[in-house]
Amino acid sequence: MRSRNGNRSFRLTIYSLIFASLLNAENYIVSYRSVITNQIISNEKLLISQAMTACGTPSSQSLKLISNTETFKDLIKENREEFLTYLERQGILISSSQSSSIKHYNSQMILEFPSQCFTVDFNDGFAIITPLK
Amino acid sequence: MKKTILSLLCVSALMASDNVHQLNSEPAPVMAEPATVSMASEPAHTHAAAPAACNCPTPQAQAPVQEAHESVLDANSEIRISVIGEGVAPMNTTSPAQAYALAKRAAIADAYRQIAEKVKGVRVEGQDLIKNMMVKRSTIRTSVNAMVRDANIVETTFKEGLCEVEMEIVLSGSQFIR
Repeated sequence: MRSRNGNRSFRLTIYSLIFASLLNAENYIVSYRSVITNQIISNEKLLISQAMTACGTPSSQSLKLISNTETFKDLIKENREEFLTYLERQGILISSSQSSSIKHYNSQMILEFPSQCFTVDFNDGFAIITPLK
Repeated sequence: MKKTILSLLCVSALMASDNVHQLNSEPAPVMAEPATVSMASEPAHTHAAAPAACNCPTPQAQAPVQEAHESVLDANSEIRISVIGEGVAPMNTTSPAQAYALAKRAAIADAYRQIAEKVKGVRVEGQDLIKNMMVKRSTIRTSVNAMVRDANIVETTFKEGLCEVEMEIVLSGSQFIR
């Protein structure tokens, strides 16, 4: 038969493991890329993946969104424009090239947001997205 | 002939940023990248020239640049740059809302490009192929690579398939000078 102290430490270990796994589940890695050819968007990709390792500490201002969803992907589906604007404010790479001759004109722009880790906290109809470094 | 080609290149470089205007009527510092010379492989007379955006010897092209007062970004000053990006909706959209969203994305990218061109500078490369005293081919290529942070969208308008996004960025001297 186990002693009371032994049971308590066992429970504490289980709770801390569950808490740690929940914390890790709310970290996401996000990247974005769009290609615009001749002023018309031709390709756009927003990739979201759960982080498998710890990311670090909060680095800059967070984004607060009103939402009743419980998953990050649903949240982004609902608030795509706001989230993309927020991503672009974090710093976006622009690569542009234009070529013109007597007969033709061609332009291509690539907007790229490199992979970055975000933490998402869902609280009472709000979601707070914070970038991690 | 060379002067004409160089002036054409300079005019095209200035036209690339014709939508750019500043709210405080002071031009931002443009850091032009070093010019490069590209050589063509054709056996005919090939003239290759690649002046930077503000390195034009022609007096006609230099005149508007000289008239404007070039502001210097010091530790206590700010420069506000405002641009208008334009984007077009694709033909094969399923709804007006989708057309608006896609045109807005393209307009935002165009605005970012203009800000990058204004702040960092444009790399311009020109190549003319002249054969038997006639221009056979004339090509101008411009490119810019930069990272833009903390730009704000001021206003968005959508009219007849064209989306215009007004975007501004504030360059503070304290960000660069320490």
